[in-house]
Order: sequence, then structure tokens, then C-alpha cells
Amino acid sequence: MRYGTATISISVILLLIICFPSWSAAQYQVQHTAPTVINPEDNSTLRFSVPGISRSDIQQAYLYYRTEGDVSYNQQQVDYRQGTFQTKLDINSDESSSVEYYFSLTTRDGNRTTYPEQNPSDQPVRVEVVDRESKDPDLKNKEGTLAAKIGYNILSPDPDKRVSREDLVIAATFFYEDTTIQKGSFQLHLDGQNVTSEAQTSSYFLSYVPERITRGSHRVKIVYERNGSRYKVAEWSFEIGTPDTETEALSFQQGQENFTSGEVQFSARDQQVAQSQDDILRGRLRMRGRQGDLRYSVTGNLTTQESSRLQPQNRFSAELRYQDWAELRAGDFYEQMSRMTLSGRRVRGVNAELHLNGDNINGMFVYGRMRRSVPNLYQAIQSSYDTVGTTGNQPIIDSTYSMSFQNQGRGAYQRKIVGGRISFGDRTPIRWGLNAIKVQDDTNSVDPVNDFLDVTSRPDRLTSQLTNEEIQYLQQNPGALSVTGTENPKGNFVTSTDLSLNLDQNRIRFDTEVGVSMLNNDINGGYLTQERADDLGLDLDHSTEDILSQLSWFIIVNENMSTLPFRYDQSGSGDSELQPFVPMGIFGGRSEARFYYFDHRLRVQYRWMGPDYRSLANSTIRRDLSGFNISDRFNLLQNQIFVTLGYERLQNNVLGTEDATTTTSTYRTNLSWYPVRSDLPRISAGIRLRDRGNGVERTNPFLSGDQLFASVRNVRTTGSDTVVAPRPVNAFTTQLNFSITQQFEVADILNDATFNVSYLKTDDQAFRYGGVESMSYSFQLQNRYTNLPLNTRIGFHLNQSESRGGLASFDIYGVSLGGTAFLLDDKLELSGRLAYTRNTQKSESLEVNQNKVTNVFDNYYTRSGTMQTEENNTYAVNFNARYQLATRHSLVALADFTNVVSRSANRSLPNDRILELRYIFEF
Amino acid sequence: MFISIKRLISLGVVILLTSVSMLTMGPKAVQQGEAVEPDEGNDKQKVAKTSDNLPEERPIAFVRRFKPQVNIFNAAAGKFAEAEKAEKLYDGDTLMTGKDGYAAVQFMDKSLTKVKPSSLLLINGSVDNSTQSNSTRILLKAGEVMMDVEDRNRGDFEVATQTSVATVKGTKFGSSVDSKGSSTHFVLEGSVEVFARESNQRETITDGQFARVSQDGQDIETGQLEDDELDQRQKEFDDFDKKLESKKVKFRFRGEDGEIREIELEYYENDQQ
Repeated sequence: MRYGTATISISVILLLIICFPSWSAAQYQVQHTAPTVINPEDNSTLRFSVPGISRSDIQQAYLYYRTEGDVSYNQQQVDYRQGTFQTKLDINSDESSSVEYYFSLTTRDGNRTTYPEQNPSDQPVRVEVVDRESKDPDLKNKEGTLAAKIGYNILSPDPDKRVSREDLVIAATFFYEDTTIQKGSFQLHLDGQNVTSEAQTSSYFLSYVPERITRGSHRVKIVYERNGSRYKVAEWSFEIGTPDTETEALSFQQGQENFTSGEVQFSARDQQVAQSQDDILRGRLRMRGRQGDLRYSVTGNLTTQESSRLQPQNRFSAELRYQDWAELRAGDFYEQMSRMTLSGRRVRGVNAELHLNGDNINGMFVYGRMRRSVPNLYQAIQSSYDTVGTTGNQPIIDSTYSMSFQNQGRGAYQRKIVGGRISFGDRTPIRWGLNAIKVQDDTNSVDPVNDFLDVTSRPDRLTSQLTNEEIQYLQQNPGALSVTGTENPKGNFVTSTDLSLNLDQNRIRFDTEVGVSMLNNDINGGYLTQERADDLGLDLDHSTEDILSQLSWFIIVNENMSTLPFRYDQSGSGDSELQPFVPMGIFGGRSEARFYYFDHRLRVQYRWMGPDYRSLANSTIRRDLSGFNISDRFNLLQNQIFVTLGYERLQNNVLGTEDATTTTSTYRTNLSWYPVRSDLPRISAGIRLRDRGNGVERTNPFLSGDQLFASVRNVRTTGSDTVVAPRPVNAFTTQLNFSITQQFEVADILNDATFNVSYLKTDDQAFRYGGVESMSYSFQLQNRYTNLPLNTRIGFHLNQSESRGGLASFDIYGVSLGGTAFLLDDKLELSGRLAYTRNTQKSESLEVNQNKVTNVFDNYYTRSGTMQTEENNTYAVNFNARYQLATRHSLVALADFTNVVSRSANRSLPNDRILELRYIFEF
Repeated sequence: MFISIKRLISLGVVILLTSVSMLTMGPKAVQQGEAVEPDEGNDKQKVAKTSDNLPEERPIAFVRRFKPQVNIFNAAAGKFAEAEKAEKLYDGDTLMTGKDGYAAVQFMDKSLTKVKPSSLLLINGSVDNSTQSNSTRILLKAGEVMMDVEDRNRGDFEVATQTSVATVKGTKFGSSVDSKGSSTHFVLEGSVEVFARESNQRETITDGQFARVSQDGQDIETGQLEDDELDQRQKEFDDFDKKLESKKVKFRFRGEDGEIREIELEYYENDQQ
């Protein structure tokens, strides 16, 4: 029966490959079902599917996430596996009651697709974080508290050890005095699942032999339950695979200190995408080991897709750790220093850390590059002539010479980073830290064209379309050449200091960080000298020039700073004299206090970010923002109901330099029911109301009625003058979310069903075509067959959105089927997925009605009257097989097939297909 | 999947012998024919043993791996049972390995004891909640064991025989009792103090040494083992671990009414067939 099912699956797939004719969409849509809640115990995996995409289309995919109240997003790379993008989200529930995230995919043609599709950073996906463990410090796993009074010994398997499936026994023993804790029971969780009913548990000992467990990493957690509250006793991970020792899994080398283990992969892929044939080879190495007190790990990824036009696709890293106090990393790593300096960016370089005196003195140093240089590729210079007038009978002709980049020819400067952190204290009760980074582009890494003199020194045939006269003219007037889109090399220095306090047994926590940032948008000319200042009509004295010279080690200061640290004072000679001063806009800070009392988690946060606070090492920091956020999360019914109440008020224009200040007030409520019994559903419902406004009314003396609210400019009259007024902002957003997850068993099949509904509506009171309304449904059913080695999945997704006041709408309907079968005594794993998406887009463009041609202030938007419709059907088939050749050797085969038919264009194109073979050796 | 006639017969003999031994003989069937004395040498903490309403007792070890036949006599319940993976062992329990049986027993401090075929041992011990330490004594009545004792528990681990007591001061060592009653202790790593019960003579042996106590418990003979012999002793135990992978066989029967029934049995390969 099992073999028959696999045979049928393969036949269906082959039939689809033969029968389906055509291809290829340029626009991708991301499908995703958000989890109802995220439980930090469960090691949540987020999955995003993008019908129609193939691995060769992907340039990069990232998940941006932040916990409640964070000023910026963290980013982590998302893997593409078996036709979906997958990544694990590691959330520390101590930090927040909710997490927000969005997914960003950049394809090789430069297009970016996100989920959510509209304004993802402003309207990310929000999911409640629930942790059923009690947060009462008396009950947490800290010294002197209840769980700490329970000693334990992990008997098997050892933490981080690799054992074979046949040899696995999970066992632990407990030590405690009967009189010190009240009667309760131990529970065992494996990969987030409560398996206590299948384990042998008693007051002092616990053991469990799983009947079925997959290869790979697994997590064990032992919890002590008392009166509905749970206290974590122990938690560790292990791996199922080929054991570390060569001979047997259990020998007198148990507990040995020296080991080496790892994995080597080679893969070969043949693909045909958009009629382009390509062969890609990849190699990957992962190795870790231990020699006495020294631990090491090495990873490497090599691919023939490496290109000098892209950031590195080949990745390497090596890490050494000596006991718990010294670490050294080299290669590619994602560094985390602090939220306001360096957070989650990939750096290729070296990183060293020291932790002394039991983590009371810590130091970190980073040096490397965040980006490698990519040369510019230009098109040939184009000349154009326009007649702009006449003089007498002779026309006046204006000549223009311009040069632009080739398709994807824009280059990039190499961006280097050097920085460090030093901190004192391990946060209990206090920790103080100081951070500093310098990010600077290497001006010699790219050879840009700024004027015609730079062209003559290049080997490219950039003058091939010019006449000799034109070339001569440009040689005499090199500045006449206009080069568009050139990126200037930047420099950035950021420093911050942070302080953390933990009081009253961690019931009170306080964190604050204050930073200052300086950004130079063009460091080409170096620091500002007296000579350059004279050219600019400024008077710069020698002492100030000296200061700038010394500062250039940290940041190059010249006229291209995002905020000039100078004030202009009129000198006696009439020149403007530069006086240094400290602009407030380059500062930023955030403070947060959390209180844990009576099952409440109260958080109060305040932040103030100047408009010029920028870190090139953390581009997701929101600037020009001030305000506070207060939220309370409390639990009811013995940690089964979680309630969140929150209020946030933010404003921009923190320096008061703009004509209007936008204020955003957000009210948020969420209720989650997370019952202990697995036969009851888990439900989460939330409402979010947001009011944005700047107090500016829509005004235009030349328009009225509907035309007023469709005006191109906001205009007011002051006396006899007509001036452009600030753009009005007045919008109210209502967002509703509902999610339910239910586990149930039918005919020996364990099922997990999740249903999500979300609704968003924005009423724009200031602009006729600004409203948005969106409704989204998704359903997912996962089945695990108790008596069959089979898992299946079915998903359904519907998204109906309307924007621009009804001018644009899109409907996305998608359905997917998938399954995994384990055959031949788990040696063969077959996975398949079939997805269909129908995408209908309608849009009507806006045109500018110029009304009276002589008056630019009375223009207003009107509908063009032409509705464009595009409909696409996408079919995607993914197939994956993994076969264990021998104890340490595996073979994986992958097949992807994609077909997109454009119903509106009625076209038929060749299919895309990918075939890949991969060999894996574990040691 | 079907097996050869030869293996089928071996399997049947194993099943038959196990059934007979469980029903009639118990541990007395092992070489010395001695009665089981679950309380012998038990100078550690005791728990009241009644057949019903047993208070919860802390196990002192569990069966980490095994290959049939391995039986455990539970002192509190007063009955034998076939061992299972992760089976708990309590103070006063007896473990017996059959002719082809093998067991690896792990104690609560992670010390490991490997038990060769045809061995019989009585386990006594206790656990100190405050120091999380074990006090363990293994009374080896027959056969051979090899132990890897956790460093922190060196002072409270003993292997006793009828004629000697070995107190562990090191980490890896083995003990055996031959058919005549003399006992031998050998050390792979660390040191062991051997005490002859009758003469009170004591000897400490270290890496690569052995101590043999005569059957009357009077004399202790010590010596050095050759490297080859040490390797061979360790290899024997390692080989047992390698052969723990079981195989499955299906028997298909057709009933009187023509219905088909299948029974799946698990079996282990033995060296002797």
C-alpha cells in the first residue's frame, strides 16, 4: 500500500510534466499562514511559499522581526527548501508578549516582493507570544527559586550529542528534598509536544523511548507542574543521526571530551528557466568538534552561481571557543552588538570576544566588510539637441550629454566596518556597556565616472556614439557630461551607551540606550579643508580644520554631512564663519521598564530618535520619531488565557523644523486562549485601531467638493500670496485578526488545523483615493498518520484587497497539497507538493486634470476610465526524495516544475524545470 | 520477510528456554545454583518491601541497552520480568543475563556498567538528595562486568563478590567471578582497592593491573595485564554493543476459514547457532 501510494504520486507528477505547456511570470506573490500564537518552547518555524519561483530566481530572502517595542527589526536569512522559504524564529518570551515580522524576497532581476505586500515595515504580521510557564520569579529557573530547588542529572542522551535512532533513550533523574516543594508532577516535552503520557515518569526519574523520531535536531524539555503552573527544570538538545563515535553509540567514550562531527554536501543541478539552460554546482561543509577546552566549528558554501556582480554567494565561517571566556570568529557571520549600532547584519571579517570574571567584564571587536565592491557598467554616452528658442532667424540649440548605467550595471563601493563593545556586569543587578562602530566606503574600490575626464581613462567604448566634434567639446567642457544614478561613497560613525538593571529578583527590569550617529553622504573629497571652505564661501579657521583632521579617523566631516555640525555666523568681513556645534538630530535613545507582579507583565517604553540618527549597520531604525508605548500582558485561568492591552503614541518632527507634525495613536487588544488539553482549540483574536493625523486640513481655494479631496497640491492663500501648504494626513485604520488551531484525531490520523482571518480597512479622510481595504483567509491542515509512515498537508489561501480608493484591486486564490512518506524502514523519504494560484489584478490609473492650464495650483486627480485587468494561473510542482545509502551516506533528489499561464494575454510559453541531485556524507 | 529454517529453529529454542526459565527456575538456574539473597550486603538505606501499596522508591539505575535474554528480579514485587529498554532498577534488584544476553546499566550519576552473558548481579544503592551522589554496591555472583564510574562518585562505588570487595577509586575497571568462586578485578584506568573478605588483606591496583582473590577469600594475587589482554577485554564488551541491532521476521498463517494472519517477531543474531 505504501509503495503504491508513492508510485501513484510519481505518476501524477510525470503526467503534469508532460502535459503542461507554458511559462513564466515576472511578478511573484507570497503566501503565508501566520501561526495562531508563538510558543517559545516550540521552536517555531515560519513558512512562506512563492508560487512560480525557482531557486535560480532568488537573490536573497530575509525575515525581519522585532519584539514588542523594539526600535528596529532584526534580520535573518531565510532558507529555500522543498519549494518553500523556511526559517526558525527564536523568541525569548521574557522580552515580549508579541512579535512582529515581515518577509522580503529579492529576485535576481532586482524586484522585491514582501509579505505583507503593502507597507510591511509599518504593518507587519503580528503574533502573540505565549509561554505557559509562570513568570513569577519565585517559580523561574533562577538560583534560590523553586525550579532551582530541583536538581537534575541528564542521563541520556548527552546535550548536543548525536545518537542513532535505535539507541535513543531519553532519561533524567531529579534530586530534591520532599519537604521543600509541594506535590506536583514532572512532564516531558519533545520538540514542543507533551509526551508525558507515553513516558515513564515518577517523582525522581523519567524515561522515554520514542517509537518514531526523525533525523536531525530535537529539543527536550522537562517541566514540573503544580496546580496548573509549570516550571522549567531542564532543557537540552540532541541530534538523531550517525553517532559521533565510529563503532557504537554507547561506549566507554561516553562523556568523552574530544569529538569531531559534521556533514559534507555536493549537489548538481540542471535547470531550464525561461528557455535558458543552466548547470549549477554547489558544495557545503559543516563541521564541529571539541578538543579538551577548545570547541570549534567550520562552515563553507561554494556555488557556481558566484558572480562578481552580486554580493558573495560563497560563504565561509570558522569559529573557535575556549571554555566560556574566549571566542574568535572569522568569515561570514551575522553580528549583534546593540539595537542602535550593529544588529544582525552580515559581516565578512573577524570577530573576537572575551568574557572575564564570570561575564562581569566583556569585550567584543569586529572588523570586516559589510559589502564588497561591484564595478559600474555604463552605457555609451548619448547626446541630444533641443531647440529652446531663436535669436534672429537662428535657432538656439541646447545640447545635452548624458550617460547612464547598463541594465543591472549599477555598482557599489566596498563597505568596511570596524567596531567594538565593552561592558561591565552580567546584568544582575547591573550592566553597563559602551559601543562604537565606524562604517566607511572604500573610495578606491570603485572607479566612478563623474565627468568626461573620467571617461577618457576608461577602457570601455563609452564614446562610441559620439562624433569627433562632440568628443572635442566634452574634452574642453568635461562638466557638461551628466551622469545619472551614481552612488556616492558614505561614511558613518555611531556610538552608544547602554545600561541594564535587574531588581527585586528580576521583577523589575530597566534597559536604556542612548546613541549618537554621524553620516556623511559623500566622502569623496575627504574632510573639509580651508581651501574647500573658501570655494564654498565659508570661513574655516585653522584650529577647526585641525579638529576635522583628527576626527577623520572616526568620521570624515565635510559639506556633505547629513547634518552639518557647524553653525554659520557672519564674520566681520561678511563671510560666513563656521562655528562647530552639536546638532540634536543626530542623537537617539530608548528606555524601557518592565514589571512582573501578580501575573502581570507591564511594559513602559519611551524613545526619541532624531531625524539624522542613521546607522549603516542597521538600516531598519525608524528616525524622526518620539513617543511612548505602554502595554500590559496578564494571564488568567492558570496560564490558559492571555490578555494584552496596549497603547502607543508616536510623533515625528521631533526637532520642530517641519511645518506639520504627524501624530499616530494606536490602541491594541488581544485575547488568546491556550488550553492545556490538546483536544481543545487554541484561539487568538485581536483588534488594532490606529489614528494618524497632522492637524492639517485639506485646503485649496481653487477647488471644491470631490475635486478638493483629489487635489494634487494642498494650497492656502496668505494675503495675496498663494503657497503650497503641508500635505494633510488624516487616516483611521481598523485591523481585526482571528486565528484558531485545533488538533484532533480521526481514524488514527492526527490532524492539526489552522484557520486565520484578517481584515484591514484604512479610511483616508484627507485624500479621495487613499483608502485601503483588505480581507484575507487562510486554512491549513496537517495530517500525521499513526499507522502509516506518512504526513500530508493541505492549504488554502484567499486574499482580496482594494486600494487607492477602489482604483486597484487584486484577488489571490491559492491551494496547495503536499505530503511526505517514509519508506524502506525510514531510509527513503519522499516529499511532494502541488500548488495552484490564481491571481487577478485590476487597476485604473489616475490622471492629472490640469483644469486651468495657467494655474498649477488647481490640478486634481481623475480616473482614467480605463480598467486594466491581468489574470494569471500558476501551477507549481515540487518533488523531493532522500535515500539513506548507508549509515553515513545519503542521496537527495529534487525536482521543481513551474508553469504560469496568463489568461488575459492568452500566451503559451515553455515550462521551467529544475532537477537536482545531492550527496550528503555525515561524519 | 522470511528466515532460514536454521535461524527459525534457533529462535524457537530461545523462546522455549526463556519461557521455561521464567516459569520454573529464576536466577537459581545460573551456574552456582545459589538462592537469590536480595538483602545480602545491603547495608544501605532500605525501603519497606510489600507486594501491595509500595511507597514510591527512587530507582538507582536503569537498563540503557540490552540484548535478550536479560531478566530482572524486582525485590519489592518479588517476581521476575524480562528486561526492557529504560527499565528501572531499584535497591535490592537482581539482574541476570542469559547465555547470549547482554546489558548496559546506567546509574543515576551516569556511571555505566556493562554485563556480560551468563552473569548474575545484585544491585544495592541509595541516592543522597542534597549532594546528588550515589552510593552503589554491586554483588557479582557470577559472570563478568565492566564499569565506567563517574569521577565525582569514586568513593562510593563497590563491587563485591563472595570472597572480595573492590572499592573504586578510579574510573574504568572490570570484575569477574569464575565457576570455582574466585574473583578477579582488573583496572583499565584509575585505581581500585581490593579487600579479601576472610583474611582482611587489602591491595590497591592501578592501570593495567589485576587482583585475583582465591575462592576461600584468603589470598590476593596481583599482577600486570598485557596491553593485548586489556584491549581484548574491552573489545569483548564493545562487540556486545555492536550486536544489539535487532531484526524482524514475519510469520504468515492461514486460518481454517482461509483468513490470513501475520505475526511479527523481533530477534537478535547470536554467534552460536
